[in-house]
Amino acid sequence: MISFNKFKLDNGLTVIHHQDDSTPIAAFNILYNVGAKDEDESKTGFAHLFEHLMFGGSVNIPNFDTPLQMAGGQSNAFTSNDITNYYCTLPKDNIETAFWLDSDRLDQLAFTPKSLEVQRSVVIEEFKQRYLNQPYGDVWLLLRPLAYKVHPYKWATIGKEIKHIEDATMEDVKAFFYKHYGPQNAILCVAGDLDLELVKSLSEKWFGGIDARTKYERSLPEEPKQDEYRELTVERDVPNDALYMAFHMPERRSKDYYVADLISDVLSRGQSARLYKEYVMDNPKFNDIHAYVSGSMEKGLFVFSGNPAEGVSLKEAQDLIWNAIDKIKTELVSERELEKVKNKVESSNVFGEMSVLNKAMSLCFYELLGNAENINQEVDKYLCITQEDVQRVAQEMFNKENCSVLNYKAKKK
Amino acid sequence: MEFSRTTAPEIKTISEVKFPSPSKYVLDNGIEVNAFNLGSQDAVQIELLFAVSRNEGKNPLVAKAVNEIIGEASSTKEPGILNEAIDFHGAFLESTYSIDHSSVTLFTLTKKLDEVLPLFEEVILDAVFPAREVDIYLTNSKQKFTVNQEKVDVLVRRLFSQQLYGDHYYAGRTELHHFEEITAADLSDFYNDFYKASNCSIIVSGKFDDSIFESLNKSFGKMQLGKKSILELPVLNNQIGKYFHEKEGAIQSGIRVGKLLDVDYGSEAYFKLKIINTVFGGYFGSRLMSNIREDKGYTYGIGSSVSYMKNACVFTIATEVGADVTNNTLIEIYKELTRLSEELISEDELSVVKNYILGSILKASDGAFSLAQQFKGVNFLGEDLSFFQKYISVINTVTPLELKDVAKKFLQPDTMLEAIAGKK
Repeated sequence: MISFNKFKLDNGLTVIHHQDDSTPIAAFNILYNVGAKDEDESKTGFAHLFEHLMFGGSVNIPNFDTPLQMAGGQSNAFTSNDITNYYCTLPKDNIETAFWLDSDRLDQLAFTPKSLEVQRSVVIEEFKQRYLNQPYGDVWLLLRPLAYKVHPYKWATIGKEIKHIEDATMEDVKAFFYKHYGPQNAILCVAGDLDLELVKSLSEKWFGGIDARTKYERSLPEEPKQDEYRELTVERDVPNDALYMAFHMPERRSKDYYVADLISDVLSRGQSARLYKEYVMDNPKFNDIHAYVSGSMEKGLFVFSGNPAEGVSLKEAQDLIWNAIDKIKTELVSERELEKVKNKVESSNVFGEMSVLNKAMSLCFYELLGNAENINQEVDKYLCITQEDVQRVAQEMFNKENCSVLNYKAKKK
Repeated sequence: MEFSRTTAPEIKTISEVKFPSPSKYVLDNGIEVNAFNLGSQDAVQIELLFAVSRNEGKNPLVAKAVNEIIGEASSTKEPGILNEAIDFHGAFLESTYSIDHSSVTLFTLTKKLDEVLPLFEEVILDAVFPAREVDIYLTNSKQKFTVNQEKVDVLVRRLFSQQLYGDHYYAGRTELHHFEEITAADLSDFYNDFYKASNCSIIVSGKFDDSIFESLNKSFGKMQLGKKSILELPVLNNQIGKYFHEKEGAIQSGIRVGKLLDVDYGSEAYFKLKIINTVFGGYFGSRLMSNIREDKGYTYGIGSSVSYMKNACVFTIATEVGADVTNNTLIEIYKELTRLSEELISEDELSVVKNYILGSILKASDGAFSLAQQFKGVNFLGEDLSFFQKYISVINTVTPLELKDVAKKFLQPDTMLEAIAGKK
């Protein structure tokens, strides 16, 4: 149970306060409701490039990190298709430094040409390091546009291609900032051994004077229901074949999202999970096999990924996954199996609430989903799932016409 | 409200950090238990640490294989049964392995401890290594190994270690044929000899009551003494030279530059090296990051470290850069190294670094699990948590001149070994 307070400034900034007196460290997390899905299709990779620029100095502070490090703090950020999330941890006595730094970059970035040029290169190197110069690194660059034809989830956060990042201009950067980085588009959480009154007055002092900006009304094209089986085969210079099968799944706020997540646990969480037990240990047809949900806010993907063992063709590997799917569609999951994955949900929730930073990030994310209060109902949503729910959602989700397959073949040498 | 956005709010400098000492308990067979009972969540972590050298195995794979397969089966339970039982209670096991140690950690909700501890006991005391499961493991890890050989950061790490450590077992030198050469019996032998009390210590952290010690004694106080692993085998002299492994089609190169440092763990010189390393490449604002990422844009990330192992202390600079800027990056790396022993660090830069490190130490002291991790690191090398107090006092007193002298002594560019994998 995480208790917290929540208030809103006049300019629309939502602030969450969570008191934890067990730690000398405070977490300062600010979530912006903007991700790669808000990009123009001809200018992808922008939300993430922008995240880098947020560390390039603001109008009154030439360098973001130095003063924070001076205060004994650390910071980082991440971008997804849905959100951009910035966080600092620092000694609680120095919390005001985080307010100062983050409010100034929300007020106005410095927009120096040097920062844009350098971060453009850095992001291009990141693109190469993580997606192009790694075996299997381009899987998501291929799988997304196969599964999504209309919705902006069809491109990866890093962007569709390096060229989009090369072409970004200062005008683009500024327009993006004013469109998405307003106080009403942000959720701040301050967690640590700090009084509510202090957090209130610091929020008012540093963020209160920032004007509200024009509210961005998101209107994304909805992905039409997939009604055809899709299959893409590529050949790459990798040592072994790999197989990816993606199914559209229920959206994040629906009850069935939790069911789908639990199905991925039945199939793939821990070494006693079905896929590992059956296909890696009992009947070794895969070197490695996983099932997971993408966890995105809008309708995401339920993905199977595996490396077939030597001598197992991609076709046979697909059939084996369909066998596992048929089993969960036709037979009720056992009571013990269901109880096992629920126990895992309960314990990982406790382990997840150990760090003050994790709690701050989660509170912001649940607030974005609808209400931070839901963080305390999350486990219950899993606990009330029945054997029949599992079967029903599996039946609804795991169909050929809802499936996109990527056959990733090793080039013969 | 009138205030200036151009002036930083006042900050409080950290002058001390409290590291609560663990409570200690000794099991009947002499296994030492260190406990940090200060959790706010009802969860507990029990780590069984075996101080066993990889060198004790028949080949470089054995220690790791034992560590990763343990828990699969016991003398009375078929493969998979124990895993399922532990999973069922919402608990999980984590195996970690390094060149000088292997450990197995249980994570569980405190309320499930009584059900889970006997299972954990069975994992540790009664493991068997069935030939079939070992074969599957070897096939799968061989595949991972071949995939890793396609990564420039893996290739360069390998090249660097092999050249730096020569014939010493720290060089690693895992080859494909090793996967064919080991048997289930090799794993059983290693386990039966070394996963034993004379190499074992336990760290418990989280929230629990004192009855846990009695439970641990009941479970692990009967572990046999076994064979003591020989951990001391000092690495020979520092090696220098430049090595290149070309990888067809690489669009980035992996770079490692570094050397062995002849310094005692926990000594003043060691702490000074940690501080210089932070200035140089140990945090986001470091010189390497500022120059090579934030000024030149050659890389997504670059860093350096000073890490102490049982038989060597090694300084390493690591990065992956665009293939076309490989040489330019090296020029900048050496330029920055040279500056360390030729220029005094400014007071401003040094005070940022000092405060940053103090903040990191404070963070390291935060929470039972983190304390347990810190304790494990220092205790393995013969220190206790007062190590951090010594570190803090060096941070508080060290001067730019002293740091320059240490850099002169230890970090001259011409004493470094250089390895590159990729294209240049």
